[in-house]
Amino acid sequence: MSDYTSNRNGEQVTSQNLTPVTASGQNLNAIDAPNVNNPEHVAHHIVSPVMYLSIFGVLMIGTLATVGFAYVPLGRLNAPVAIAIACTKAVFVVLFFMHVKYSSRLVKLTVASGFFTFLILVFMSLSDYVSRAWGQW
Amino acid sequence: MSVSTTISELTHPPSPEVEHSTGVHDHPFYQKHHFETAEQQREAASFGMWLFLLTEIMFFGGLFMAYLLYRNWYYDAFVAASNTISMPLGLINTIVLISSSFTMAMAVWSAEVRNKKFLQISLLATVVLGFAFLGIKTGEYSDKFREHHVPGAAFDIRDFTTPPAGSKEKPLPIDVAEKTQIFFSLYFAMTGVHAVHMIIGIAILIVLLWKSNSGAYTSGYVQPIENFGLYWHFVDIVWIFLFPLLYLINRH
Amino acid sequence: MSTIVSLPDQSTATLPKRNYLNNEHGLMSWLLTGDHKRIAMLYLVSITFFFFLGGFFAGMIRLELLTPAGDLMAADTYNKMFTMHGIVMIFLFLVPSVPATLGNFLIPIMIGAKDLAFPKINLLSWYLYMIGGTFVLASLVLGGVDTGWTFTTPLSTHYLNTHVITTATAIFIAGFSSIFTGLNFIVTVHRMRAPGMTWFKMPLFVWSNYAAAIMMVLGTPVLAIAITLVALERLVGIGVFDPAKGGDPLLFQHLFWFYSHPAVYIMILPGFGVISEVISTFSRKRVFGYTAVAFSSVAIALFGFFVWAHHMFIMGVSNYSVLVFSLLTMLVAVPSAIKIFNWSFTLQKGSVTFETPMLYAFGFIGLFTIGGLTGVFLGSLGMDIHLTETYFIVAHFHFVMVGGMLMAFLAGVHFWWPKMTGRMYPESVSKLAAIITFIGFILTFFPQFVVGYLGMPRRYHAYPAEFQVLNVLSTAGATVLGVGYLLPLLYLGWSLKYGAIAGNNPWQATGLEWQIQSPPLTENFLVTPIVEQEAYDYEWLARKTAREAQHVA
Repeated sequence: MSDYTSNRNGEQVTSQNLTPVTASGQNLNAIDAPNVNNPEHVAHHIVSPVMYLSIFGVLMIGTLATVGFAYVPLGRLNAPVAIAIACTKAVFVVLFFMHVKYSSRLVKLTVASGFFTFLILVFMSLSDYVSRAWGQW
Repeated sequence: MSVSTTISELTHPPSPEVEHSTGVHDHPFYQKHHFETAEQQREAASFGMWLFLLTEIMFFGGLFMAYLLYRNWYYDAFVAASNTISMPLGLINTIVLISSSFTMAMAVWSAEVRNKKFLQISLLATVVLGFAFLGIKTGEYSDKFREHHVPGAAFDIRDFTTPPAGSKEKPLPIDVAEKTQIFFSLYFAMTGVHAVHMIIGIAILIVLLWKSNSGAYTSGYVQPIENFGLYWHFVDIVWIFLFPLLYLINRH
Repeated sequence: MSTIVSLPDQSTATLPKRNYLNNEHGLMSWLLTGDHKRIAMLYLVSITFFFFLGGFFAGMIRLELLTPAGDLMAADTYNKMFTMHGIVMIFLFLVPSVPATLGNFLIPIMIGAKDLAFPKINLLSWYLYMIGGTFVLASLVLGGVDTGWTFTTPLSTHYLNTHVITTATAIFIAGFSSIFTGLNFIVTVHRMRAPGMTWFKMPLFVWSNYAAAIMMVLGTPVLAIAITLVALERLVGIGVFDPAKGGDPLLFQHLFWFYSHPAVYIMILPGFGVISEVISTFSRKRVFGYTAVAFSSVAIALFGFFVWAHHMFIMGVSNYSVLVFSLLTMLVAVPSAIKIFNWSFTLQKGSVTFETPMLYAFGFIGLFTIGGLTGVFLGSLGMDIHLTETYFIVAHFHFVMVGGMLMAFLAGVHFWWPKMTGRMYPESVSKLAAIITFIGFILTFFPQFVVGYLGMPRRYHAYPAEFQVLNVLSTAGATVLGVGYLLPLLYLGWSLKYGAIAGNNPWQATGLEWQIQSPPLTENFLVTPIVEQEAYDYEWLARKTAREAQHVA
C-alpha cells in the first residue's frame, strides 16, 4: 500500500516517476548503470501519508504510556519500562520517519554502528564505575 | 557523454526550464558535475547526512553517559529535583515535537510527490511547532531561574532541605540536597544542547521555506528536504529520550 | 583526448598546459575553490605553518631543559609552552596532516572519482580548521593556556586562570573540521568509486584513510561534548566534573580519552597508508598480504575504541577495569604488528631502491616499531605505574607520532610531490635531509626513554642535575631535527620553480593517480576510468607502458 501514492491531480506517482530523466525522457540510470550498479544501491521509496499518520499515532500512544507508567509504582522496573518505551518510539521514528526500513544495508549498518559505539562508551566507562564499588550499585 | 562543467549551485538552483532549454547536457538541474548520476548524488547526500547524525549520536552520547552515572550515584537527589520540573509542560512539549516530526515527514512526502503548496504548508507548520517548543522551554527555564534551581553561584538548595508547604516531597539531608545541582547541571546541559539544535533547525527550515518558493524542491530535487528531515527527526528522538529521563524519574 | 598517456622517457616530459594549478587565477579562485586538490594545497600550506609554530614551542621547551635549573622562563610560561606545543601539534598538525593534505588530494583520484562527494563541505572543513587555528593563535596572543593539551579537570575548570575557554572553542571548531573531512572520505569511498574499483582493488592508502575517517566521525563528537562541558563549567558553573558539587573529574577523562586514544590512530593510520604505497612502489612488488593489511586498518579502528582507559591507570580507575583495559590494549599490537611484518615481507626479494620517500619509510618502520613496542610496555599495568608521567611516555609517543607519523608524512609529501606540483624535488639534498631527520630524531628522543626510566617526570621546567647529560643530548638532537625539518621547506619551495619536470609517472607506480598527468586536471579524469587491474599490479603497468611506447613511436 505504501509503494505508491497519488499527487494532487490524482495521478499515480511512484518512485519510477522520480528517477532522473534526460530532456528527451531517457532514463539516466540506464545510461550510467555502472556507477550506481552496486549492492548498496536501493531504489527510492516514498512512504505514504497514511503510514506517517499511523506512526504518529503510535508515538502519541507511546508518549501517553510513558507518562502513565511513570505514575505506577513498579519499583526497580520504572526506569527499564521508561527506557523500553522510549527505545520503541525511537525505533519507529528511525524506521519510518527516517526511512531506514526502506534504505540500503549501508545506511542500516551506519545507524547500527552509531548505537554500537555509544554502547561501547557506556559499557566500558561503567565497567570502571561499577567495579570501583562492587555491590554498591 | 558530455563533460560540460555546469555546476548547479545549491544556493541558486536555476529553474528547470532554463536548464532543459539549453539541451547541451542531459543531467537534472540539481546534479553536481562530479557525480555520474542524480541517483548517486542522492544516495551520497543521504549517506553523508547519516554519518553526520552518527556524530550527533556520539555528541549527545557523552551527555547521556554522564546522566546514567550520576542518576545511579545520586538517585534520591535526582528524584527530588526531577519532581520540581513541570511534567505537564514536558508532556505538551513532547507532543508538540512529535507533531512537528510528523509535519516534517509530510513535507518530505510533499516534495517527493512534487506538491509545492502542501510542502510549504508542512514546512510552515514545522516552524510554528518548533517555535512553540522553544517558547514552552523558555517558560520552563525562567521558572527554574526564579526558583534558584540554575546551577552556579545563585543555586539554592532550600527547596529540597525544607520543601515548600503543600509539597509532597520529604525534606532531604543537606549533602543529598546539594547533589540536585548535578541534576540541574545535566538538565540544562542536555535540554540546552537540544534547544540549540532546535534553533539551528528552525533557521534552516526558514531558509528551506523561502527557497521552496522557486519550486526547486518540488521538481525532483528532494534531497535538501529529505536530509533536513533526517536531522529534525533525530532531534525529536533525542527529546523522546530526554522526556522520561529528566521529567519522569519517579513521579509516584 | 585521453589523459592516460605515459611518456616513455622522463627527460622529454613537459608540464601540461592545462592543470588544476593554472586552471583559474587569483586569490579568490583558491579561497572559494571546490577542487579537492586545491583544498589539499590550502591545507598543506596551513598545516606547515602550524607545524613550525608547534616546532618553535618544542624548541623553547628543549632550550629550557638544557640546564637543570628553570632559568630560561618562569614555571608557568614553561607550562604554557608545552601546552601550546601539544595543542598545536596534535589538533592543528597531526590530526589533519596526512588525511587533509595527501588524503584530500589523492583519495578521489585513487578511486577514479572527479572529486570528493561534498566539495563545499570540504572547503568548509578547511575554513573551520583556519578558524580553529585562529582561536589558538588568539589564546596565545591573549596570554596562552597552561592546562596541558589534556585539559584535565579539575585543573582546567578550577585552578587555572588562563584562556581555557578560547582554546576549548578552538578545539571544538577544529574538531568539526576533522569530522567533515572524515565524513567526506567515508561517503566518497562508498559512493564515488569508478566502475570496476572494488573494495579489494583500492590502494591501501585509501583503506587506511577510510579507517581513520570512521574514527574521526565516531570519536571527535565525544571530545566536543567533553570540552563543551569544561567550558560551561568555567563559564556558568555547572558541576558535571566538579567534585565539590558531586561531579566526577574522572568522567571528563573517560570522555576525553574516548576520543583522544582513537585520535592516536586517527593520526597514525593514514601514515600506515603512505608507507604501504611507498614500500610497494620502491620494492616493485605488490604489498604482501594485501587483504590482511587492509583489514588490520579496520581492526585498529575497531579496537581503538576499547582501550582508552590505559591513559588513566594511575588516576583512580578501578583495579578490575584496569585489568580489562590492559588486556585489550595488547590486542591493538596485533594488527599493528601485522602491518610491520607485511611491509617487511614486501621488501623481501623485491627490487628495492632507495629514493627519498623510501628512506623516510625505512625510518618510519624502525622508529614506529620501537614506539609501538614501548606502547606495549606502557599498556601492561605494572610497567605503566612506574613509567606514567615520566619522560618514558614522552619518548614513546614521540616515537609513534614524530618518528612514525611525521616520517610517513614526509615520505608521502616527497612521494607525491611530483604529482602535486609536476616537478621533482632535488634528490641528493632530500636524501641528506631524510638522514639528518633520522639521526636528529634518535638523538632527541632516545635519551628520553632512558631519562624517563630513571624517573625524570614530564611537564617540569627544572630537574635534578644528574639528568643533565641526557637532556643536553636531547636538546642537541632537537637542533639537528630542526635542521632536518627546515631543509625540506627550503628545497621543496625551491623545486616549485627550478625542479626537474616530473612527467606522469616518475616512480613507475601503479596507482590511478600516476596514470594521469602531473599536475592533474581540475576534473582529474577526462573519461571515467574503468578499473580492471588489481592494486599494485606491476605487470599490468609494464604491459600498459609498453603499449603506450609503441603508440607514441
